[in-house]
Amino acid sequence: MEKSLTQYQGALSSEVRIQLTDLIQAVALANIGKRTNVKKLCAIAIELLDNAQRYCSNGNIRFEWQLQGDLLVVRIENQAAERDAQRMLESIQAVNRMGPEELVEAFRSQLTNGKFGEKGGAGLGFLDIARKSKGPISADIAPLPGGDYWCRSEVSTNLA
Amino acid sequence: MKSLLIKGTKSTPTVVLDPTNDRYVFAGNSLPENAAEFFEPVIQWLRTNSEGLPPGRNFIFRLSYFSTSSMKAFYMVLNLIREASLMQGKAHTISWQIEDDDEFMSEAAENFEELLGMSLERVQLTAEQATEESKKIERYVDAALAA
Repeated sequence: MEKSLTQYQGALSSEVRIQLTDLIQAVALANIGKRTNVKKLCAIAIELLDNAQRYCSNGNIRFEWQLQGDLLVVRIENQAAERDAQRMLESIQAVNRMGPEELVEAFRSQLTNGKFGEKGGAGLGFLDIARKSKGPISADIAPLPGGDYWCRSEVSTNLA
Repeated sequence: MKSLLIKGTKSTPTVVLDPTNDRYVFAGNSLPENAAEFFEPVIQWLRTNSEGLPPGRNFIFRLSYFSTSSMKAFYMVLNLIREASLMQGKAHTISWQIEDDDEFMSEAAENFEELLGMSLERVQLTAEQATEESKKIERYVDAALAA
């Protein structure tokens, strides 16, 4: 069974985000080839990285992109302010409650509302991930000493 | 009418809104950390100037990848072009250039068409053609910014 694991732990800047994007595209092409649309799969990681960069409170992340047979698992961990951590968890829980048609409708509604968040986000990332992965997004948060929160989100998608 | 020229980076697109030379181009990757901030001058330029453009301009979109926050910004850009077309009674055209049957960009075009009720002209490019076009527009922006 083919398996590959790409891990990154450290500072997340725009430059690192782009380098990671290029790396996972290359890894996906090498491991998946034409089996599915590589850009769509990479979009899952890109949206998670985008979100982490926007809300990370200490600049560091832990990122994993794991391919095992027909399963792709993308994980990201970062530190965030309590408000941002709670909002992430609530957003993921809301997205996980939606059926496929509700996801499409919510995505359209959010895309066309002409509004951005205070940090420039569109509020579309988790909706897009759920549409592309066709499964629930797993998320946990926990308080850290000093008042910030540890956040983890994980997406699994079957490539078969 | 003043032009707006933004040189692209690895994470942000090249933007050319240049009525003097009749060139309107969005090209490259669009993954800015803050899409609202990056696209603010673009949206503002279109709000101020799009109705004053001569009818029948061609807007070229040759994008490699964009994040969902950029997708929202491109929706706003396309909507402003659509509204200007409706005001003038003669449509501007959108050339949506797609490299090597890129399914991601084809689907994005379909989504925009459905949401905006406007058609985007699909132009298929080989990887070599896309690279050549990107080099041309980079040279164009470099020369214009140096002038």
